[in-house]
Amino acid sequence: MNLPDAALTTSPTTPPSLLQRFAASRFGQALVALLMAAGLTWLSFRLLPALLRFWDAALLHLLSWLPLSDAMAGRMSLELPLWGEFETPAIQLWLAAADSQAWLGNLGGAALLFLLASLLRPALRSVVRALAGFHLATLLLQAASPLDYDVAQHTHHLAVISIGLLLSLPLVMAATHYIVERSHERRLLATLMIAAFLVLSLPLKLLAHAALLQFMSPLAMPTLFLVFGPAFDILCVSALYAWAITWRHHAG
Amino acid sequence: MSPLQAWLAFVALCAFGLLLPFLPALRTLRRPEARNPAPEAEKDAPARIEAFRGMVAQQFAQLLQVVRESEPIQGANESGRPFIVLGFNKHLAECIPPATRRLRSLVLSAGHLDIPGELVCDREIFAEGRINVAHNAVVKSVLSHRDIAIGIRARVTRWVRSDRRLDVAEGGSVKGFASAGIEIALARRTRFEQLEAPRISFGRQPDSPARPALEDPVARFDPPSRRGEQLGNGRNLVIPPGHTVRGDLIVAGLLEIGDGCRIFGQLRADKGIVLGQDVQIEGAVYADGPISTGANCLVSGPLISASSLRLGPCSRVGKPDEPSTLAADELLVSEGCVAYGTVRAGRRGEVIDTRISA
Repeated sequence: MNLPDAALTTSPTTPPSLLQRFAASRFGQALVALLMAAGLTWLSFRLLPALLRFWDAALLHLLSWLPLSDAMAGRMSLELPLWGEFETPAIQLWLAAADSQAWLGNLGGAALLFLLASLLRPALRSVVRALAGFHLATLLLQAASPLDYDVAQHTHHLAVISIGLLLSLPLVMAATHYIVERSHERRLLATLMIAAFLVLSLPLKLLAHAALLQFMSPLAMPTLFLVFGPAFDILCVSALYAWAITWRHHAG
Repeated sequence: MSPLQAWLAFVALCAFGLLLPFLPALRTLRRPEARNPAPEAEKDAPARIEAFRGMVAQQFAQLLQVVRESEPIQGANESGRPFIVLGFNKHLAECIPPATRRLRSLVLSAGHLDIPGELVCDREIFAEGRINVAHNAVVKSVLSHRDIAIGIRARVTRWVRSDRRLDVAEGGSVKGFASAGIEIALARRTRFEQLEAPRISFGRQPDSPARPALEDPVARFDPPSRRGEQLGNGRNLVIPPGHTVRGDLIVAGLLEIGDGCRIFGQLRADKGIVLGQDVQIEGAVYADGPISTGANCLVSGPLISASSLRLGPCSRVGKPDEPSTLAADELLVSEGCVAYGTVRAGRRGEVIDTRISA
C-alpha cells in the first residue's frame, strides 16, 4: 500500500552523481571551503585599491561636514617585507602639546574613574579600574619621556590593523566558521557581512579617534588605542561571527 | 547644516556603527531564560499517557475492530495528522517503502506490532498486543496493553507505557517517563530518566539471592565520645562493621556504614554516605552529597541523593509490598539490583556494565 506523501520521508530514489557525492563528502566540503576562502582573499586584495579610493572619498566627505580644525585626510604607507609599500588612509591633525590643564584633567579623570568604578558590578569594576590604572601609567610614562607619536600615525596604525583584519578574514572564517557551517551561501554571507562592517566602519573610526583626541588631549592616545583600537575591532568581528554561527541552529 | 547638527549626526552614526554588531547579542540577552522542559514533561507524562489512551479509545476503537481481519487502513484524523491502523498478522514493514527512514504517522495495531530497525517514528505508537521496537529505532511515545520490548540501542524519546512488562535491551535508552503494570527490566548499559513499576530490575539478575540471613543484633554501636560540645569528631561518623544501630543518624559531614551493619532508623548526611556490603537499612537514606553502596545492600525506605548515587551489585531498594523511591541527579545502578516503586534520574541514569567497571 502507498501512504500519503505527508506521512513519509523517503530517501531519494535516484542515486546521486559522482560530483554530488564528492561535494557532499568531507574532503569535498573542505576543498570547497578552502577554494572559497582563497577566492575571497584574492578578491579582497584585488579590491584594495578601490577600497582605498572609497575610504579617501568617505573621509573627505565627512571632514567637509565636520568642523574639525586643521584636519586633513591623506594616505600613509608602511614598508612591508614581500609586499612593498602598504598604503592606508590616515588623518593628519596638528594638536598642541598638552598643557598643565590637560595633564590635571587626565590625572583627575583617571582617579575619578578609578573611584567611580566601585559603584559598578564586580566584573565591570575590575575592567574599569584596570583601564584607569592603564591611563595613569601611560600618563606617568609620557611625563617621563614624551611620545613621538602623532594623530596621523595613530590613525594610520588603526587603519593598518583594520585592513589586515579585512584581508585575513576569509582565512580566519575558513578555519572557524566554515568548519561548523555547511551551507556555502551562509558561509559567503557571513564573511561578506563582517567584511562590509570593517569597510564601512573604518572611516568613521578614524574620524571618531581624531575628534576625540582633539577634544580630549594627545595624552589619551594610548588609552584610546587600547579601548577602541584593534581589541574593539576583534570584539565587533567576534560579535558578528557569533551571530552568524547561530544561523544554522535557527534554521534547524 | 550647523556644526552642532553635524556633530550630532556624526555621534549618532558612530553610535549606530558601535552598537550594530552587538544588536543580535542584545536581542539574545533580552530573551527570557530558556526553561528546562524536562521536569514539566515528566510531570505531565502520566496525564499524557491517559490522554492518548482516551484518544485511542474514542477515535480509533471502531477502526481497530474493523481492521482486525482486513487490510491496513491509512488516512488522516480531523486535525490532519496521518495514521496507519494495522490488523492481526500485518507488519508495519510491509506497509512502508523499504527506504523509509522517518515515519510521521500515528501507528495503531489491533495485534502485535514490530517497529523495524533504524526507523524514526515521530508520532505515538499503540498496540493492543505486544510491541517490539527493533535495534537502533527511535520512537517518540509507545503504549501497549501487553508487553513492550525495546531493542538494542533503540531509543524512546518521550514516554513508554506497558500494562504488563517493559524490557529494554542492552544499550537502549528510555528518555522521559517509562512505566509498566508488572515489571520493568533494563539490561546493562541502558539509560533511563524516570521509571515507575511495582518491580524494576537492573541488568542480569543473580540466580539465587546471595543475601545472608542476618541473625538478631549481635553487637551494639556506642556513639563516639564527646569532644567539647560536639559529638565524636564533630562532622563525620563511621559505624564499624557488624554493628546494629537503632535510631536516626544525622551527620553534618560524611557518614560511613561498615559491612554487615543493620540500621533501624533514618540516615541523613550533608556531605555523603558510604554503605559497605550487606548493609540493611530499615528507613530512609538522604544525602546532599554522593551516596555509594556496596553489594547486597537493602534499603527499605527511600534512597535519595541530591548529587550522585551509585548502587552496588544485587542491592534492593524498597520491598514488593512497600514501594519506595530511588532518586539522584546522576544515578548509576549496578547489575542485579532491584527497585520497587519509582526510580528517578535527573541528569543521567545508567545501568553499569559490571564486567567493565569491575
